[in-house]
This record gives sequence, structure tokens and C-alpha cells, in this order.
Amino acid sequence: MAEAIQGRGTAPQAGSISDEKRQRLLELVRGRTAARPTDLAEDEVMVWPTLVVVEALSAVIFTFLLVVASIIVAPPLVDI
Amino acid sequence: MRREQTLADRITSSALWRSVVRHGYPDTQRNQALIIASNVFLHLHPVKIKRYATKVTYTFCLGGLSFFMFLILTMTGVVLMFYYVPSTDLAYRNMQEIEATVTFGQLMRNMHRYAAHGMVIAVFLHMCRVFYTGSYKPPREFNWIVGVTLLFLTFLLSFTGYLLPWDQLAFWAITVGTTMAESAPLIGPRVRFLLVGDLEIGQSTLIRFYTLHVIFLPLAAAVMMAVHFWRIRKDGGISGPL
Repeated sequence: MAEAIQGRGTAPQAGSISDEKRQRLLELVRGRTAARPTDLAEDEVMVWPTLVVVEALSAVIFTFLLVVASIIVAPPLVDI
Repeated sequence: MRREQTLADRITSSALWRSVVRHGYPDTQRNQALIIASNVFLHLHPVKIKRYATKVTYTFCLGGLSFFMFLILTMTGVVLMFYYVPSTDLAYRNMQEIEATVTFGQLMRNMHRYAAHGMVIAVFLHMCRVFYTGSYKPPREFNWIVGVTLLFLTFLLSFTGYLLPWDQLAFWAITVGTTMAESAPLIGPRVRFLLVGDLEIGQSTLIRFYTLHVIFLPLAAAVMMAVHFWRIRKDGGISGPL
């Protein structure tokens, strides 16, 4: 934070700021928290695309099976 | 040398695109996080999860499939509602017309029926999975209660929906069900009267079951699902293996 304030008076050279520092400066300038990627632990993965793909595939496979079953097998409708 | 703008560049730099899509192409962790955080449907998920949580054989996607089937039931149910009137004189005829006359009517009816059975099975299996993985233990006790409530709501949705075709299966299934309710001690006859709406199963019963099935129970289930999903996040996400 102190580094950011000290460096405000001078324009940084192009390409000299790290990604992390750029994010912090953006927060300071915009006054709100920007989405910041955090380092993934060894046992962690990003939800996009890993989990979302699994869920989407499950939904597609299930819908296909449901439509096939609905076409092939008719449920009963016994005359009242 | 200035690169010529491709059509994709023009589209993605337009004001309309930038208003709807608040993230770049998800080839960086930042954009992958933004996709999840800035989408009203996807922000149900956290930005990152443990690797074991993505293993299909851990949860078998049962909870997600239950919710997905609820969505299918809602959509097919709305289509069926266009053609169904909850009257004892018209209900069965409407069912025959849906099957014979309405475009894709038979498909919608069949999908609705099988998704209903499927949802009951999926919710039950989901409950078994949660139990056998110990995912009801602290801090998830309250969420277990919410889940059991959802199980009962699913059973009630299935029960009330079963009467609506007003065919032999429907009539006698509800006769058996309400007679069983009547056999409960002390409050049995009152419960039966509340369910049936009359001394015998008829128009009163059909309209009550229809109202419960299309309005009250789906709303109650939607509210409980919202609580269920919220509690999953608040309790630390998907449970870990034992």
C-alpha cells in the first residue's frame, strides 16, 4: 500500500509493473475490490471449466436419456 | 502495423457485448474467476474447489440432477398447463388430447412423468449419499433438516401430481393414500377431510391437488432449495471424504 502511494507521483514505465501490483493499483483507483485470482493450492482447481463441464455433461446425458425414454416407453393412462 | 479488426473483435468490443459479458476469454485464472463471480446462475458455485469434489463417483451429481429435474418438471409442467383443466369432466379428455392432438404433447407428458419419478429416485439417492459420506455431521446438521424437508416436498409433489390425469390409476392411488392418512390416530379423519375437501374424492380433491401441485408446493420447494444451496456455501462447500 505504501509502495503504491509513494509511486503515485511518477508514471510507471510500460511493462514494469507486475500483475499483482497492477490489480492493487486498480483497487486503489477504482475504490472497489477487483476480482483477483489467488494462487491455487495443490489440491484445488478452478470451478470454470472443471466442475462446470462435468455438470453440463451430466445434464446433457441425462436429458438425452429422458427424451429417449419418453419417446420409447409410454406411461399408462387407464380409462376412468 | 495495425491489425485489421475481425468480426469477432468488432462484436466483443461493442457496447452491447461489454454490457452483457463482463469478462474476457477464460484463458486466465482472472477471467475464469470472473465468469463464476459475475454470472447470476454460475455464482451458485465458489470460484475454486477441492480436486476431489470434481470426482463424479463422489457425489454422482445427484443433488445437481435433482435440481435439474425440478427445472425440467417446471418447464414441461407449464406446457401441460396450457392444455389441462382441473375439472372431473374435462381432465381425462384433456390428457387424451394432449397425447393425441397437441404437437409434442405426448413427449411433454412423458418427460414430465418420468422426470417426476426420476426426481423422487434422485432425491432419495442423494439423501443416501449424504448419509453414507457423513455429510450431515456438524456444521451441516441444519442443511440435513432442510434436505429432508425437500424430500417430503418432493413426495408431496409426486402425490398431488399423480391425481391430475384423473384416470383409474390416479383415482385409486389417491383413494389408498387418503385412506391411509385417515387411519392416523386422533387427527386422521381431519387430515383426510383436509386433503380430499369433501366426504368423497371428487372435484374438490382435484382442484386442491392441482393448486398444491402447481403453486404452493413448487414455491415451497424453490424457497427451500435456495436455503439448501445457500447453506452448502456457508457450511464450507461440498463435504470432504471421510
